[in-house]
Amino acid sequence: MKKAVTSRPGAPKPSLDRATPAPRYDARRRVVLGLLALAALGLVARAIERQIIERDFLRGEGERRFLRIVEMPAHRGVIMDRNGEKLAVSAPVVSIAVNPRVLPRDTARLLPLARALDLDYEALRRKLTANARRSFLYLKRGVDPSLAGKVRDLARGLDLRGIEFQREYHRFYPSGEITAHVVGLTDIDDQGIEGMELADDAHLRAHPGRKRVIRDGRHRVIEDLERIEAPRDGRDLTLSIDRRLQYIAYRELKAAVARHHARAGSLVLLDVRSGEILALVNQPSFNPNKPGAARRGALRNRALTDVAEPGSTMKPFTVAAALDLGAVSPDAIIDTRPGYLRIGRDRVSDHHPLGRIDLGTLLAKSSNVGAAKLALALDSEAFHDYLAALGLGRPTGIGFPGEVSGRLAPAGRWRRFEQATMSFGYGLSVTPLQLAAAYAVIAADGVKRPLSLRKREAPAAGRQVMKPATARLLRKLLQRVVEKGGTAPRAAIPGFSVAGKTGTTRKLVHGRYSNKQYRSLFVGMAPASRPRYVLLVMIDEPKGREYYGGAVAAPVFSRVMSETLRLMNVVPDQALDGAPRLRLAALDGVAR
Amino acid sequence: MDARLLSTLALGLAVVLSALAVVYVEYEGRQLFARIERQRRAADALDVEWRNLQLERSTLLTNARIEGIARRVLHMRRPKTNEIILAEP
Repeated sequence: MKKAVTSRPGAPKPSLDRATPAPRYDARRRVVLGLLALAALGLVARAIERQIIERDFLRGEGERRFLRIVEMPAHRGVIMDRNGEKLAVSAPVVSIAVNPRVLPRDTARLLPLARALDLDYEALRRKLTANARRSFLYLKRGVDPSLAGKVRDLARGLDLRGIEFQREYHRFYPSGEITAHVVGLTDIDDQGIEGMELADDAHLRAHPGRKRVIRDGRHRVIEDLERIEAPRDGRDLTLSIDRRLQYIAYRELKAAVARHHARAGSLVLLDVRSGEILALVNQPSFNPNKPGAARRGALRNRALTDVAEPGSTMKPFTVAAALDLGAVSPDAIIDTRPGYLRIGRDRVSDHHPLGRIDLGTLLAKSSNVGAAKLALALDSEAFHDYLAALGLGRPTGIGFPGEVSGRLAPAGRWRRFEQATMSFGYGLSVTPLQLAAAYAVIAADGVKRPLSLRKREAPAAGRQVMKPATARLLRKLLQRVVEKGGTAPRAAIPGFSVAGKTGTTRKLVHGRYSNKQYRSLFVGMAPASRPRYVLLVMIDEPKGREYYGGAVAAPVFSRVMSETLRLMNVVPDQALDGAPRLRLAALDGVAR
Repeated sequence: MDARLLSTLALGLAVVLSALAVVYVEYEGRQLFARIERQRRAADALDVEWRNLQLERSTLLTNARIEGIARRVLHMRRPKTNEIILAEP
């Protein structure tokens, strides 16, 4: 075969040494050049990809190695009483956690740690062994920062690795259960969940800031780059509450509830001139520093969330309505004979027949028949509107979470008997706060001022809902309640005139009025000549021989009100038995 | 020497000096930052202490505690009405 090819005739004879034309590698060169060009193109493409397309991602990855966003802590606002006493303070605490995988477990080093943290050594050991595979375990939360500092030194000295210290804020309530219901609570995330902590959460809340920093290899911040968000501390909140008065109120209410083995109790103290709530306490209460231990129902602010029929404490408003709507004159005589009144098939009766009585006796002796007669003389629509204007069965507008509005049925639905029972406080329901606010109208010469739990710089503008003359007359008449022969002589205060009204209401149990379960009430004001304070005391289900408002609630009123007047330097408006009055002028030259 | 060489040398010197200045300023900046961080930590520690002192103060000022001390330790009591003298202006 080979031979046949080479011996082809006519073909030029290939020469091996000279004149041999250079071999041409065109194709090969093109391939190589092409490959090189491709490689270069690939490089450029990759460069473009890295430089332009993946740029942000890669830069981010790089920065993550040394840039860090750290939180800048901010604290929740302080809640204070009207004099600036702290009622709720956020203080930093430290939570100590360990990494059980790293933490050494020899006794020589673990025992001092357990001692420093006041933990049981054996228990700690067991806990660490049980969680040996986890990498995070809380040793103790909410530790005092100075103790945490000692533990830090200890860990450094013993070369204990795997201990972490986390900064947290804990809410402390120095007044404890005394102000618990008003101030409220926060949850573990520092958000308000009860009381004013919840109502004004947006105001109090802290807004932690964030900043971007550069850290070195040992995680130390070496440079601040930028603030992403400035930290904003929560704003402080000043309540209208006076801690001293709150304490007195709490002490006396608690003692009374215990003495009468009562189920619960509420007390409201109002400043007549400004409409501020100076004290508001309930029993049972709870310790806000240990909210988990609270008994059921103890968290409720009963003065605002529980409604009750006002009973006889309603009568002054019936009298006021009758006077203002022109149904009776101030010197009217009402015939309550024979001590009961038939209305259709129903009957209204008094404890004792009182005969022909004036308005003062009606209130002092608390005549149901007299009140019912007044109410029946009124147009139901006008009577309803009068009571509604006083705020009975209407929200008070203080913006407290869980506050209820009570119930005052529209006049169109009233039957005559209901209109009669309404006059002595049955058939409508109000909160203790609403009732106290209505008495504040009597105290403020007929002006209704909006209530407030926040301190006011200036008294709020009020609205005249009762004629001033009527309010003044009522105060005069209500003073007879605390005099000898009235229903509550035990509400009297030496040196001061007191106007007030008792109430002893039977509780509705399963739709029937119980004759075993009562609510004892006293609402009053002092000094009656120019009232400064209105105080309501309600004791729920006193058990024992005494259950009348005049025996159970009135003594609490007397004690709390007299301390209040003394603390607030109110000048006595009545002669003190055996207390000589001294003109200051006589002191000149003696005292100096 | 001609002017071009001179200006090149001058510029070169300026570059070196500015490089040294950059290094120095950066160093100074780090030092200051470390100082401000120390001060911030100190301020933070003082804030922690202030808050705890506030708490301690309110705890010591609890009305129940003051009343207890007044009654038991100092034997204080409210004056009876016949012990009161009213001073009138």
